[in-house]
Amino acid sequence: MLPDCPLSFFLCDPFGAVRGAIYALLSAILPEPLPVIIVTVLAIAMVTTVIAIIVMSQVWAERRIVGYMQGRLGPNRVGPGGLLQGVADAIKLLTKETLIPREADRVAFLLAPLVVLVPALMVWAVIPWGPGLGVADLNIGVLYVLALGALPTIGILMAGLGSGNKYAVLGGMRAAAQLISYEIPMVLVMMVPVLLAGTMSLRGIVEEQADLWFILALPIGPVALLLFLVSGIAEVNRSPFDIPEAESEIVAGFHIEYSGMGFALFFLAEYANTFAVSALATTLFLGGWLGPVLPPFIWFFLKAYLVFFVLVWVRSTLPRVRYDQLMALAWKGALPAALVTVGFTAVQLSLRLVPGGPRG
Amino acid sequence: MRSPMLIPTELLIAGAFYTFAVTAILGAIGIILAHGIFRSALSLVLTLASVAAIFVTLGADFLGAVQVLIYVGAIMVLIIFGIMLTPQQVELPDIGGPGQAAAAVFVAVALFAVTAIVVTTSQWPRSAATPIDRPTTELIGIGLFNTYVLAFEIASVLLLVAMIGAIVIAREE
Repeated sequence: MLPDCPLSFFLCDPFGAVRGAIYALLSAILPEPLPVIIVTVLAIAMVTTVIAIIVMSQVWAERRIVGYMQGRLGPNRVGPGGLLQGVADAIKLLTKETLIPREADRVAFLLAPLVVLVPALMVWAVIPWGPGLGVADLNIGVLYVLALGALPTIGILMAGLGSGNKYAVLGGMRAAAQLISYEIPMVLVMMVPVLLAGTMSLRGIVEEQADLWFILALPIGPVALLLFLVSGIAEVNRSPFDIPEAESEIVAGFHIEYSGMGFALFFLAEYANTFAVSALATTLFLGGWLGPVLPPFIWFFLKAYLVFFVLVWVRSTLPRVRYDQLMALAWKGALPAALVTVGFTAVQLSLRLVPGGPRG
Repeated sequence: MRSPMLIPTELLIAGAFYTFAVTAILGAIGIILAHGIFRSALSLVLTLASVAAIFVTLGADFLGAVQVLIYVGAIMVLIIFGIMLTPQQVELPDIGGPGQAAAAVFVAVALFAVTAIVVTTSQWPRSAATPIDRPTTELIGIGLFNTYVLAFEIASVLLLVAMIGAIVIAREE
């Protein structure tokens, strides 16, 4: 499907054009299905690289923005405006020694960062960056994202129990309780755009928003987005819901014993997940790549970084909540609100008060 | 397709199926042989995730995703959570006398023999139909809310009863 784009197709979808060219070249010399496999592997490599770059840009942006909000400078020494601070940090982390505590369960300890990171990267396979742009378009896209979102909990528990450290165990227990609690409102509220669009494909959801972004589907849109962001922040353990790590209480929680590469992987996963939440909010509620004049993928990144800015803003503004407050908010606040939102959406659709819903 | 297929798609799918099938079995063996209940739980995660992957290779994408979401994401997390709350290195008491080992061997061998006989002698119905090559979500939804709506509602009520029962038991009064 060619996008409705005022500029040439190449500007609308440069990556798609390049991918098409590579595929045409490969299929001229190689038999099927090798070209498909090679193009897919290239797309995966590109997405992984882009995520690494995004994470570095985010870490820099977050530290600078938080610094600005707190009346200080933030990193500004390495490179212009501190832009290369991320590179310096990465080199530092990768050259550090990986320490394994004597009390640790070696297998669980070493596998834990991967179990957290791999799902965080796999989510990116289905996120549509633009029309025709992205690794895959699953018709169960939303469900796929939810299933992957459930996996890092196991990794955090492996780190918590496998470290042989009481603070790690405490962090792991907090994480398990928190992630399970906030998964339920998250699942429910992600059903709102699914109901409105009548499909679980993320690409399909964006295309259904051509007339109306779901954040503007009043009155449920803004409520659903707010609930999604609250559960999303809790799911990725960001402040003010960062009690599984809570430096001032349990030092660093589940990743207290990790140094060097292991810590770097946890760090990468956390930011990849944070940006995945921003990208999902963009896709589900803010119309994804849709927007006038500018190329679609630029619109996508503009919106995603706007959501990320809001997350940073929240982080630098709100204090960490207490454990019982967190649980009360999940079970007495977010869950009933999500149930009401989904129910209200379904009623609206049944009465045909809003367009959308199941077709055919 | 102009040129002949180098690797047929069926072969790729069969390769994936056997890879995950072997992984599932290795995980199941790991559950029994692992030192410590924590390692056993992690092996169970491997098995359940492999089963989810097998569902996907058989064209049941919805079922695969739900398998990961429910079993790996919820049930296993609860099991590991439970392990965290219990003291580590529990010494299991010797419940039975020397006769127990013999009885256990007998039961295990008998169970294996019965299962093996059933599996090898049964006439497994082989449907000629290929796995449906279209989205299963809609079909499952239509099935649940039309043909099987009674079973679906009964299962929902049963789950509700179990939840209320758990709350009643957990309450201290």
